Amino acid sequence: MLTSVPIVQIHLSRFCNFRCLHCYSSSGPFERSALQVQEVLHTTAALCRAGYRRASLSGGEPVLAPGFHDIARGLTEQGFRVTVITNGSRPASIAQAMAEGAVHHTSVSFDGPKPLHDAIRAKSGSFDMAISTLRMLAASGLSCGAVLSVTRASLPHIPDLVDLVCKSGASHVQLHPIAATGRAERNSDIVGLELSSEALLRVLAMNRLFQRIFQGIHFQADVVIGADLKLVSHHEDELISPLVIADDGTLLPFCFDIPREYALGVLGEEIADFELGPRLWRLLDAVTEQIEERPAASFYRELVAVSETALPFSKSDPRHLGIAGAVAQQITSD
Amino acid sequence: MTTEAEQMMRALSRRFAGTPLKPDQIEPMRDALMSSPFETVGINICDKGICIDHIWTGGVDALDLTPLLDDRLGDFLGCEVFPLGTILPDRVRLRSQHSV
Repeated sequence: MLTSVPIVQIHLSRFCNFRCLHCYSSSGPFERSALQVQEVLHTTAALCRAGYRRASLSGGEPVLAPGFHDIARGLTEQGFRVTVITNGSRPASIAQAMAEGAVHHTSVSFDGPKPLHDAIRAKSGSFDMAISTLRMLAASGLSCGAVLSVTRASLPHIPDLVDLVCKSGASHVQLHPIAATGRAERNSDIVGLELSSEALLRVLAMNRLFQRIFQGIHFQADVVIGADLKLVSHHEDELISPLVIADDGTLLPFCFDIPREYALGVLGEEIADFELGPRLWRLLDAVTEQIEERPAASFYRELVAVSETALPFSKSDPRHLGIAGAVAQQITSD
Repeated sequence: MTTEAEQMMRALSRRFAGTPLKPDQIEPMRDALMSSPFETVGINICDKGICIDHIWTGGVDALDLTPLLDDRLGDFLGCEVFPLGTILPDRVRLRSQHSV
């Protein structure tokens, strides 16, 4: 399990009113995919029985998805604690869902200071909207935070941005290095992706300082120290976490970008269990081997890279010797 | 925290944001970040191993037990978490158990 509490991430739709240069899911105004409310709630009921208790709604812009309110309300009734990640352009809908008790926490995403944020979102005024939404939620006493994209372009501005979101009422700040997937892959030069291991170590150091400076605010950096991973052991009977429901209804382990060969099934199918099992356990093992000698790394970025090479076996496993295609076939049939 | 300490940490965070580490600074930085965030307050030894009592002041939600799994302490057997209640909601006592 990659998170301390089992969590399911639901990508309600790839429809979004923005078309961000670094969007990992290539969401935008012309995407029309959307999950069906009853299918989602049928599967989340099974996930709840299995032990999942937290749900994160994402997209696209989840607030604009057709079933947003019904799914959020249904998840809450099933016993989930529901979080929404939003671009902050629809404050009234968010505030309504939170006031009804259907959403418990909202994270507003930021890509840097105002000029950089607006350029990446290709929308003038988007930064002001995001800050305004954060302030409004905090002033209303609602639980809210900020997710800050960390790229080479945004890194120098992170301390000032952290200061601003904390003063605006964020109770939780997440520093998230962007991976070169989706639209980000095509625009990696523009948005300055692929932070080096050394730069990721600085992100971690900054995160530690922020925890001291802004006491009472929870900070999280999506960066791991390679040597720390040696100390973490996974078990095959752990629940997969995060477990992702993509906008096309596919259930995926860990993240949206993982190759579809790793899919657990689709919405509507009866899925036997949601435990790691041997093949995903071997994948995590391979990722750990990949990064344990580095000072610091983005675990999800490496997870996607390793999963795409289709070598989710440890080097001590004889199946590691197979060519990529043969191994991929074996994973699929495992 | 004093104003001076806060100003120093803010300046340091800006330096980390804007200036790459030199190659010889990387390993010390990694080691510093890996050091345990828990304060050790007691050690109990018996014929089966050792129990170490720690205090964590960041609240239960932010509690990350990974540093307690350090294999330099011997095989990790388990951990008990004791929130210290409503008066000190962010203060948690931990007891990690290791066989040696």
